[in-house]
Amino acid sequence: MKLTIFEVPENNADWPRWLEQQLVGLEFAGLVVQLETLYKSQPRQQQTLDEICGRQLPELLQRGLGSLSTQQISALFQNPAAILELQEQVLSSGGSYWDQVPLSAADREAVNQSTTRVSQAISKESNRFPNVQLANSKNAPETTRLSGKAVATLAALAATVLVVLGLWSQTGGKPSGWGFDQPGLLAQDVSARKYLSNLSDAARQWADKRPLNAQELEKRLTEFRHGCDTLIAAAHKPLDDVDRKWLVGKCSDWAKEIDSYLAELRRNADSFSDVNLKADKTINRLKDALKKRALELS
Amino acid sequence: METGDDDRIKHLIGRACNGDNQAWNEIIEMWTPRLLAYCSAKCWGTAAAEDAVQEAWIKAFMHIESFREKSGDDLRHWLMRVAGNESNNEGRRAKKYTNKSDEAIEHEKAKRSEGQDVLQRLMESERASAFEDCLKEIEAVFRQVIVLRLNGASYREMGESLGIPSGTVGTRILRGTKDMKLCIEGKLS
Repeated sequence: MKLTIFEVPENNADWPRWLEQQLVGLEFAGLVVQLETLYKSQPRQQQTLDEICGRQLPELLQRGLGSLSTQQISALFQNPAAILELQEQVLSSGGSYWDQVPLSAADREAVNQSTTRVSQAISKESNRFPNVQLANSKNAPETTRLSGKAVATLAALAATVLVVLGLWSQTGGKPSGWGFDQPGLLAQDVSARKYLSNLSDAARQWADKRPLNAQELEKRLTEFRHGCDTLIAAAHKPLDDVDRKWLVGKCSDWAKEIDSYLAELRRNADSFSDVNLKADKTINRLKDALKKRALELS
Repeated sequence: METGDDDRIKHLIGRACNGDNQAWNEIIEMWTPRLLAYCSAKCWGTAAAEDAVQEAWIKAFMHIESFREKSGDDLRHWLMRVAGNESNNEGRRAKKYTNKSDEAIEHEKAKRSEGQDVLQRLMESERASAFEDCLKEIEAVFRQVIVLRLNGASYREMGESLGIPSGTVGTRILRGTKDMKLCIEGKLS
């Protein structure tokens, strides 16, 4: 086990570059665990990533951590959950700058091995399923689509649709306990910024469980959609009139989009991948909109 | 993300949809480093992370046609989610014994952010326990030195704060690190 926290550079000016390497490296979990262990018995100021980096975040994602002060990096050290969130944002939304951050020799070796392994696996799959692309292609002849395997798949999907329809009636009206229906999410005694930031975090829970088929997607979307109704009906006391109207208006728009995806899925269970992708996009957009609005509030 | 020009990536995806292995290799080389870093953080293990990354790519292979007209961002975000989910499953399988019911775990999870949830799981690992035990066993002054260092104090400031010469601070760090390594190796062997 690498003792990463003991390798923090002696010169504080080197901290941003050092932390960048950790964020894209493969020993990051060890660093986070060591920090949490060290600080959990120490007095520390609990802070979120937004509180530590605030408006600098977009710049950090594009140009690295060079603009962070020693105090900010130290605050990140003291709040490992915030560093984990920073890493997720860097890896999912960071610009090309982050692809140039040098890896350690060991990490580079592991990445090369993994890349080779994946390439070989895809090549193998490609030999096993040479018609995967054609089977879904709009230009493929009907006879290709309706091979024995495809018929079996369609039969399974038809069965799925029946189950989904039953499930829809069971789950349509109940709060799910996650997303915007998360207990305690609509606490009235927080700042407007925190309130919207919490909503953005709650929306992020969409990605916690990935639906693998039409049935799971419909259940998940239905639950998320219920949360939109909860938001539309809520008082949103921490927000002023302008922000409240903005939020409710946005929720209504998002709810309509999700309704259209549910309708599409019910019409055609075969559209699972496409609908899943659209839902991801909408929910990412709404999560980002909430976060952006939160950051705009002082 | 701007990992390459989006038009180029769309073109690569189009070629991958047509079964072009070279295009697949280029996409894999472009995004595997980030995927592997992401999965390693979630399940704290290169082997488990590699499995999760491979699983995500195979799913991408099976669904690639859905991304033919989409941007590179769409495929990349989808890959990250699938890989993250696979890693979470790996991480849960590897976590330490707990007597909490699945329901109780899910309830607690719902109250935490994604970062807090991953952190909680990492803290339940055997390696985290070993690190914590060893940190308790070593001299208190070593822990103080590390905390001061991570708070941004210079060697001179640390020396002043602990009442020891600044030259001794570096020695303490070296000795503490050596003790910690030996202790952890002993616990994990």
